[in-house]
Amino acid sequence: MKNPEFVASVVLAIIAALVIAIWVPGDGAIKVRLAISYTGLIMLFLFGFLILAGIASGKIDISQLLAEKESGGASMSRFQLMIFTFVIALSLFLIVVSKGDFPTQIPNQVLEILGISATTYGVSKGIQATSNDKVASPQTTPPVVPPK
Amino acid sequence: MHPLSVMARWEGLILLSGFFGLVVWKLLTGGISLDQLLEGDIGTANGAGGSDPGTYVSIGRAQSLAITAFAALYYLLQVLQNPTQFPQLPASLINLLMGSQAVYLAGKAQAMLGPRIKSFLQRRMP
Repeated sequence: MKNPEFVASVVLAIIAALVIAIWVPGDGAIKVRLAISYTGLIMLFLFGFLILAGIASGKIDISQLLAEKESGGASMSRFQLMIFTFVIALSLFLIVVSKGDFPTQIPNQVLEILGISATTYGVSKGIQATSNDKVASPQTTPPVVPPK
Repeated sequence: MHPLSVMARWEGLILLSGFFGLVVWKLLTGGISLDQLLEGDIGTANGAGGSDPGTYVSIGRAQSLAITAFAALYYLLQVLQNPTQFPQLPASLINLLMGSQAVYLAGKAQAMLGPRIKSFLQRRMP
């Protein structure tokens, strides 16, 4: 078996759903809704936890998360995109937790901040790609041999 | 509060803080390399076929890092003060961020494409 953790998490979620369906008293429709909700939550948590465990143990390698392909050094635009993604994810989570509901609208400023970061990353990659294009020189082009 | 909501809240908290903590821990221990974060590459006249281009300490990157850190911290503090809605950022901060990124990109373009443009112009105008 390649991923026993994955199978274990699915089995656990199904057991939780069965427990709710059989032993929890109440209306059938509510029980189905509860079973689906708890199963979804358990599976989401276990998948997330598996990813976290994989990153912590080194099974999932994130050492190149900020590295640029060519030079191997850290990329400022990637770093910036990561920081703003974290900040906005954390903000959204705090808002949902304190209000108990999703915000009714996402302000334009959030999109602007993420847009600036993503655009910078894209333009930066474009500059790099243009710079790395090899200039064709007539001296290095191999001669064309006609087929016999 | 419904136990489902409590569970979802704790789940989100554990997963988000776990991921955030792991990334910060790897950044601090060198698991995610920050080497050359403030160094920019220098391009060569003939692109990928050229010799090792080398690096330079980039002012554009340094100012971009400082302004990014400032904006992120400001945003986070605003949310912590009033965590019921997304904060309103001053337009000047957004403009500052855009200007900072423009300076960074202009510096990068100059360093990486400058030698090629120079070489091209020299070939065209001997």
